[in-house]
Amino acid sequence: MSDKLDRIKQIISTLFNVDAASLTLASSPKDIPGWDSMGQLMLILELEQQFDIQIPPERAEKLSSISQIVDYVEEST
Amino acid sequence: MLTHAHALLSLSPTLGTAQQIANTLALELPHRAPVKLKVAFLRSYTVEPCIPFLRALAALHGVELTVRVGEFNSYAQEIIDPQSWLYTFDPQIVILAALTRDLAPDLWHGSGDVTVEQASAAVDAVVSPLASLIGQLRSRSRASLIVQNLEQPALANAGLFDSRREIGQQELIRRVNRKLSQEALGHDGVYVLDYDALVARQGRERWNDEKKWLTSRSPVAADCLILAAREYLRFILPLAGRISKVLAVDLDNTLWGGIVGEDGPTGIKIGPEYPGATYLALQRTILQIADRGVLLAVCSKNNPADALEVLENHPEMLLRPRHFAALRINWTDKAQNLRDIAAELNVGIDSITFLDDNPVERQRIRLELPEVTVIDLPLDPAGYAPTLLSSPVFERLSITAEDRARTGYYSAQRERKTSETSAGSLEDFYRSLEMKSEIVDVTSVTLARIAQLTQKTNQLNMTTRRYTESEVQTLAGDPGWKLFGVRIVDKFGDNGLVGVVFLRIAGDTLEIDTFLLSCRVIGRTVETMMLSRVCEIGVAAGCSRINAWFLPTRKNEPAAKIYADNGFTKIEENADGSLWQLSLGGELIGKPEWIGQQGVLASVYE
Repeated sequence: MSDKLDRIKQIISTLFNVDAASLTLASSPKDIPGWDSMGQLMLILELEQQFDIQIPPERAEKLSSISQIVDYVEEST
Repeated sequence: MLTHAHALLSLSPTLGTAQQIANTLALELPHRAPVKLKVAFLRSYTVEPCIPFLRALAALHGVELTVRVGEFNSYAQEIIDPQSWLYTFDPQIVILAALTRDLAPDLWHGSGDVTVEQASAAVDAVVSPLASLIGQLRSRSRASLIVQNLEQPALANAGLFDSRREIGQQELIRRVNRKLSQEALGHDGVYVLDYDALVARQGRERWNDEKKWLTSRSPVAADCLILAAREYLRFILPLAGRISKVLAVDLDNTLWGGIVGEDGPTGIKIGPEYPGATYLALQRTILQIADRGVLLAVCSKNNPADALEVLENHPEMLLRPRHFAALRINWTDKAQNLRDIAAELNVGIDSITFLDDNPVERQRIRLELPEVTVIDLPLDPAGYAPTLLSSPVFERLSITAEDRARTGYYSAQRERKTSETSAGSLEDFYRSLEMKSEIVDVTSVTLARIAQLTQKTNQLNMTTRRYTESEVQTLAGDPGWKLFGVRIVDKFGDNGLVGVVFLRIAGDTLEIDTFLLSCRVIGRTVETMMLSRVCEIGVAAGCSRINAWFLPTRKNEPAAKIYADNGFTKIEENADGSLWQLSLGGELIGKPEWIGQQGVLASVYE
């Protein structure tokens, strides 16, 4: 769990240019300027490659906080 | 960081990796002044996920990209409106990225069931608006334009029957692409990116991610994004002047299988049968690269006698000593050998690409000489030739007569050096060369070479200002500018177009914007001949003085004394460089008497 959380924080930190230490489970697009709709697409592409998963579009649009992403990655890997 | 970045990108070629490299690499490569370029994407689809890869790959080649992306399907307005962001942004490169389904929906969705007469109208309906946009963009902007052509569908809408008709969907798309290529050839600075071939190389079904297209207008599968970026890089590196002039190759287990010192000339693997055939394929590719004007060199740890025995006498070898402009076969450290090769061939170390099967040697060169381009060969020798052929540092957007004849120049150069040592005084040496010069204008024949010289010349270059072909053409048409090139012929042969001067008339001052000379003719007073021509132009234009900046770089030390040596006075100095002045009221610079003039040389170019 904590390993995946760290990796996901790292991904969000790199993609959106924010300090990984400032991220929490509650972090969401509202707190992170680069996490707009294009950012969401980049994030999904990166999650799919990093965790070798396919995220269906219906789920992809609902992944709107770090905790939701962690839960999804946990259940699909 | 550099070695780390290469490893990271090949182990984990994801967006995050690319983003990380792009964000940090430019800052951590202090030895390499990056070329800064602005790139504008005009597009019909989501290109954003490709951009971190593009910026990362460019950074690894010393190019720092600033990328802006237009609105979806708004490229026409963005080109037509002179007030659009495109012209404010003022990019050096514009990429027009539109998909067949957006650009030509009738071709993409239709059955392609048209008559021969309708076909040409259908092709025109797609290409004519594009041609008009290309023309408008070229007239408003100096940017080079890269236009993606139309990809074919994975399967034709009419199925097999599509190819049973004289014209079908696939044939229509082929005709559009052919016409688009012809259109591009009619413009300077417009290039077609063969998107259809790019997709086909990977496989249409693997390339396209239909679900991402439907949800995000992002058609390219995640693992193909880096391949799209590599394709853009093949255009960007030559446009940025970040190309290699020399390919330095290892011998054992690179040009042939096995180790000649251990297996002997008859034990090594080279020839038409596998596994020798894989090495033969690499040699053939190396010759194809040399045909583009790239010099070849050998950099090998070996007994010279063993290695030369193979190079000279092995019946199956394609590469022979005459193909190489420099040979370093010894037990010296390869980094030192590469430095020596650069010195011998008069090129910068960053103009060298190193090809070696041994990852340890590659790592060593990356650490010791980060400016050298190192090609990462795969483990399987069958992949050597394709890997080399796909390297972007050997891409050329135009290949001139000079490029093709280059190896000949260098062998003649060796004879000139011999002549230099036998001639008595320096003046005797100049006379012995029987040099003749010709001043040439910017014409359709010389344009490509003149632009290329501004992009590639590093050493004897006073300001190192890079110009694209279209920029040179713009300046040539401006009455406030005077441009000329210089061609030098001597008794050993034709050196080709080797010097370039761009002048700007500012009131009664003639400013030298660009003054450069190929290293091929350094130390032969050609620069004095060129300055005497500059004086003549200044007097004819009614100027009373010449102003000229010398802007030092890490490479152009050989140019530092030219203005002082020719009677200019330093009048200003700042962090960027020094400003030199020559009065046109007094004695003017004369032509060296040993350089004759020849007016009939032009015919050789036709």
